[in-house]
Amino acid sequence: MVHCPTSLLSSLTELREVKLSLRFYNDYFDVLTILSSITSTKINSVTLFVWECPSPDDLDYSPLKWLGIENVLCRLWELKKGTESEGVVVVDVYFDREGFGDEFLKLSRRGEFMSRFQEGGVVNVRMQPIDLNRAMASITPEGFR
Amino acid sequence: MLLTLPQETVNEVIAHLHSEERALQSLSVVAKRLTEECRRYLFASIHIDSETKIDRWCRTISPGEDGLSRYVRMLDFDAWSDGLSCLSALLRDYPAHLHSFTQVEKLKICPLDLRKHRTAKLVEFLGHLPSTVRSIYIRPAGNYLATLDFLTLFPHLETTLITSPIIHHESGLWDLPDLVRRGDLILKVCRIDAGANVLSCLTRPTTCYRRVGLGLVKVDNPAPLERFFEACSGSLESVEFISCFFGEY
Repeated sequence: MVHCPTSLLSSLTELREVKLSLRFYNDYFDVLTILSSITSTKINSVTLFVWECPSPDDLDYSPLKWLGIENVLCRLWELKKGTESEGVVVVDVYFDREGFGDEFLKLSRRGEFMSRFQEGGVVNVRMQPIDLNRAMASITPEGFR
Repeated sequence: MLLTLPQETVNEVIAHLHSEERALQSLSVVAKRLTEECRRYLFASIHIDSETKIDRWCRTISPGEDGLSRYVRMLDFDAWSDGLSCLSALLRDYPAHLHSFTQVEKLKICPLDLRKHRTAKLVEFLGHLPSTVRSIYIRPAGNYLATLDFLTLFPHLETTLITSPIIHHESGLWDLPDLVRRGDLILKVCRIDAGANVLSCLTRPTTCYRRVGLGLVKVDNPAPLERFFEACSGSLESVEFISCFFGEY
């Protein structure tokens, strides 16, 4: 069985930005591993395209999974502490389902969505739904889209 | 009113209208001093994806370095339904026109078919582009060594986008030239495994990408990917994984 190596991004000391798609039912653990492998103290921006996300009402499933994501994100601003790196870690979260942005934004405002991360970072829940095509376009340089 | 303004102001007004094709078309015939600037936007980008478009362009626009082709900064050759590259058709029917594109900064060729007899012809007719091209987007087909040779023609690349690079599972052929190992590298729709992959050879110290994007990539063997990141450790600032799967077939 092939998994993402735990040290995949550990050598990248200059890393500042990470953009990932996250399928909750498919590559959740690989995404956790990728984020956990970061050792750079210069991370300023993380973008997550969240697909196959359970509804925020799914209390048996959703909070636990998001807790895992939150923990690895908290580690990123903890890495910056005591270093000369400037700026906070900003996390932009997009969903593929219309309306999910609204729901997660409400949770975020009530302090129920990644609240611990927000002690040292910023979470922006984005309304614009992003599917695979749009995500692929986002990594394609302007002019070639 | 517009004609009484200084040229710099006129240029700014036209720049604001860059996406308003009809307005630019109208302005371009109002006065000579507007024509040049409007054409810079009207012909900035051309997308050729059919034989009809090739015929229309080549029969309407005269070849030559002073023609309208000199305004083209983004040149996009796509495939049409039978898979034949528009570039191949242009080479076959109107090769002289390729010399007219003298200011191309972004070049897209999908597919880039570099069978033996075509490579020399491509070099002959695209040989004037390398000094201006900064971004390239290719979907290679056929001979990979020839593809790499082709990329070495472009010494000023800042962005290299390669899509569907693995077709024949040839081992060890993907060793991108030093000149291409910098700036942004985007790989789309490919497979990374032990023998045939784009990344396994890219571990020399000359690798200094700033940004790497992987989209729709199947990683059968993560070791080359890890080695690749190690090789980029001093320069890589941005990593993007969109729909990348770790697992065996």
